[in-house]
Amino acid sequence: MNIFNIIKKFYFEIILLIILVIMFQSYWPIWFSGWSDIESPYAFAFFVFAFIVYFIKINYVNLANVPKNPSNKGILLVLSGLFFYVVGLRADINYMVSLSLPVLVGGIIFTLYGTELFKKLLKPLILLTFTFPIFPIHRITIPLQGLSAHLTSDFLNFLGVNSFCEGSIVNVEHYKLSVVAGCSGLRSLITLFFTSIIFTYFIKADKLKKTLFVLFTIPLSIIMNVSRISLVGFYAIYNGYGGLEKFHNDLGIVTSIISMSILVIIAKFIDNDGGKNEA
Amino acid sequence: MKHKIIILLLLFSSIVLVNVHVNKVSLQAIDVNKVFPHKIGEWVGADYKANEDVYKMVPSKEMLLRVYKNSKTKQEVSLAIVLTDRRDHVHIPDICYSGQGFIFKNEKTVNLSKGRQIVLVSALKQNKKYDIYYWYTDLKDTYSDRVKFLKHMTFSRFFDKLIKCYGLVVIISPHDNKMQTMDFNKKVDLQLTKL
Repeated sequence: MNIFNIIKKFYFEIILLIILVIMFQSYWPIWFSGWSDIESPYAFAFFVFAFIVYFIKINYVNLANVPKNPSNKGILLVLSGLFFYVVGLRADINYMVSLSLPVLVGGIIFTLYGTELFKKLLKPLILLTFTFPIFPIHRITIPLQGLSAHLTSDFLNFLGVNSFCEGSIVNVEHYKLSVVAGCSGLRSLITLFFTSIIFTYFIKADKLKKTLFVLFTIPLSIIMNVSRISLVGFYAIYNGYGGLEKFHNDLGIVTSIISMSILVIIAKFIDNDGGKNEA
Repeated sequence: MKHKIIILLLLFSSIVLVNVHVNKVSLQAIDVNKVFPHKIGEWVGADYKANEDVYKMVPSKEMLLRVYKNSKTKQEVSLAIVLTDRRDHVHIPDICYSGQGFIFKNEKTVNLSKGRQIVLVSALKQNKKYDIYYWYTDLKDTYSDRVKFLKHMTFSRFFDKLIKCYGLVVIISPHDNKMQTMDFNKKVDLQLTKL
């Protein structure tokens, strides 16, 4: 199929895409900066985009053969999306504007193609929704910073290192370690959580095992984060503040790799096919 | 075809709805550090910086951080003001301050003056008692309740009422001198209404 045939076949979808780009023109740069910033809690979005592309690619024939059955019910979803869009933009509620786009896309698919295709695309659409800033994430970040600091301080005391914490600052012997937003563990928690959800698509296992697998990412990310901050504490005791930042950043990469590896091993372990199947 | 036309009509009408305004009102991003005075009566302020992490949430232009000292009594209070055109930059103080080691004990509403209410929180940090006063403001009225404030702002913004910005004021002082801190609070409120 050449480009002209694609344009001819999907001309209306292309028009809609252009309209959506224009409608959300002031938000695209904000969303892109979140997706492309490795420090952002939305950096996992590229995993989701890659998954959606893969999902459509392997299911293309199946999706293309779904009979087109336009539905009036979908208009309700379009109206909900537009309600979020109008109220969000007029009243500066960015979370509502962010939510409006996936709801609108879902509503348009539902209206133009019908229930069956909408149902088939619902899971990737829900995943896509979470790549937009639809929640006030700072409300979780700061309590998580405090929790990480407390657990680290308790863990260090357990290991015999004199430590106490004030809010999100861990005092290790003579050193103060500030558990900043990047160290709250939220970024790794979100990335592991959504990656595990994507993994469940490829694993052959019952629902309970899949749910437990996804939930396992919560203690995993907390344990890995506490270990990371504790190791940073040990580094400070033996080396002082010099090179601490670099050590902390490098350790972040190492803990991410370890966490992801643990996830892959567990995924293979619970998979009835031992990870041989693909979808 | 019918569904395609409905969708196009709905999208275009929403574009019209967000772009038609009764009053052409846009919120101002006030540089609070420039417009808020360093000297308020007997109180003299000195700026301080927060850690980098704080400025990722609220840019430095939108946030004033000062310690004011009373030249007569030598009492010190810490003042934080956020004036912003971004609704999501106005946070609940206990989220930010718990990260600094403050433990919020109890919270009550107190009158700053007639019809102007603010919140007083009794807090602890390293076993020392502090009073944390905070309120939300649109530079006209004070709000002790965040939900009420955001509701007011939502309706005002939606119906294009003349609103300057979203504001949050947090004042922290040691527990010992309530009278002087309240006097400072009133002065800060007065200064803000003049902006």
